[in-house]
Amino acid sequence: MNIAFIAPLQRAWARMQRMLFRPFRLETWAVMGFAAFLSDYLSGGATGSYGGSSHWRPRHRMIPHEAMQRVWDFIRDPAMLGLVIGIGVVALAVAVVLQWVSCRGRFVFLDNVVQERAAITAPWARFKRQGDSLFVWTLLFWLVIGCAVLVIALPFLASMRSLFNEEEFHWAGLLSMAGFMFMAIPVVLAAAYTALFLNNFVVPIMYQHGLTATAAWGRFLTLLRAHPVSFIAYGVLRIALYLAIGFSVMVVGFSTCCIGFVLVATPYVGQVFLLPVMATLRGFGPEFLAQFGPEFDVFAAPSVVPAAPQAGTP
Amino acid sequence: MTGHAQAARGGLVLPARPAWVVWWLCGLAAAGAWLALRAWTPAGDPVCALRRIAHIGCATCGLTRALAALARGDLGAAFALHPMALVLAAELAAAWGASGLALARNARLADQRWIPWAIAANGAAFLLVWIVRLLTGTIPV
Repeated sequence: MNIAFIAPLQRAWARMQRMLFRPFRLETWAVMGFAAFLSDYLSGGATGSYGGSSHWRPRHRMIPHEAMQRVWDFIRDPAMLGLVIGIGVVALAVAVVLQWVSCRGRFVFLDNVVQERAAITAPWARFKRQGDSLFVWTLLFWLVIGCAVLVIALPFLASMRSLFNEEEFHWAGLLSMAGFMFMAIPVVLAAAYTALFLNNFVVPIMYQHGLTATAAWGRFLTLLRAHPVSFIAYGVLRIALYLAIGFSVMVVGFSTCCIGFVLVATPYVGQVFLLPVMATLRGFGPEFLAQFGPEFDVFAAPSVVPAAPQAGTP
Repeated sequence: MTGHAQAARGGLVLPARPAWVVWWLCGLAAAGAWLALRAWTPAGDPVCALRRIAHIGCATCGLTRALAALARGDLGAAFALHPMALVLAAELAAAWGASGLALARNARLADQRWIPWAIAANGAAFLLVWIVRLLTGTIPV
């Protein structure tokens, strides 16, 4: 079987042009931008989360030892400790709720791209079961990854502690962390590829066949075992695309007194501005998957999931 | 006409009252920005990252100062600081006025094909002005 990489990307590009420019309609952009916002930004997806402050710089130099001491002094106060725990719990709850919204949003955005139409409420109601299943799977996945990183970090805790307790920075201390890095990289790589496969291939399989996340993974893993190199190469191509997009955003941002950065970093507005890119990337995974047979062609047989009943109808 | 009927005919679907609210909010925001620019005096180092890193002005360098000069009625200074400030202000004013007129007539924005072309034309104009200003060394510091 000959697997193409550029042809699916070209088809995704052509699909995006039909959706967004033939004809151009502001309401399509507004609605699909919101679907993209629900899908990618809230989960901190690769093309979504530009909101983090990368321009932060410490106002004055503070050595780790001093910083750790200040943190320790701060949380020794029971009131402050309670406040920190409270803020942490609220932040965690908000993150979980946003993840739930994002999991449902992924089906909304995918439905928009597959059907070449802008809609929120109908796909939101229709893919409730799949969205909830994806949410539970994603939570468990990140929990497992967090535990794996923790287990790897345990033997290096002493080195980390000495690194922070030293009053001066030593390169030797940092080198002692190389072992941790060496062991963590495969885990991070595996996590990144799992997240990539989940969003690009497992979600379309769930969407097409109305499956849960676990059942869809079962179907995808059969395919992955048969064509591992093709899917790994897809991941590499995707990284290259992200780099190219990042470079383009940098060029536009620096050429416009950072106005471009502000627009892209603004929630929802950024998704509307980057909608051609996001719609192309959203369509690329399913277009690539469609080469492996009609049972993986989401465009030929869009979805078996029945439409949700309209409000007021039995 | 209902929003759905408008959508079926390819028009911009915003119910009349929210559309008026958005229109007035845009007008108030523009008026606020105009007043703020009138009172604004540039101070401190330029915020342009490209200027700080590569020591060349970017495509929008001088635009805020040009708009401020325009707000004070100094057309010559506005043009010298950034020629596109006049174009941009005229376009925004025309768009706001036209949309208000369309709302008052209960008309719909059926043909929107010109919007991406207008955005592309503005982008190209900014690029062209930038190249000319780089070649002639007229980007304000």
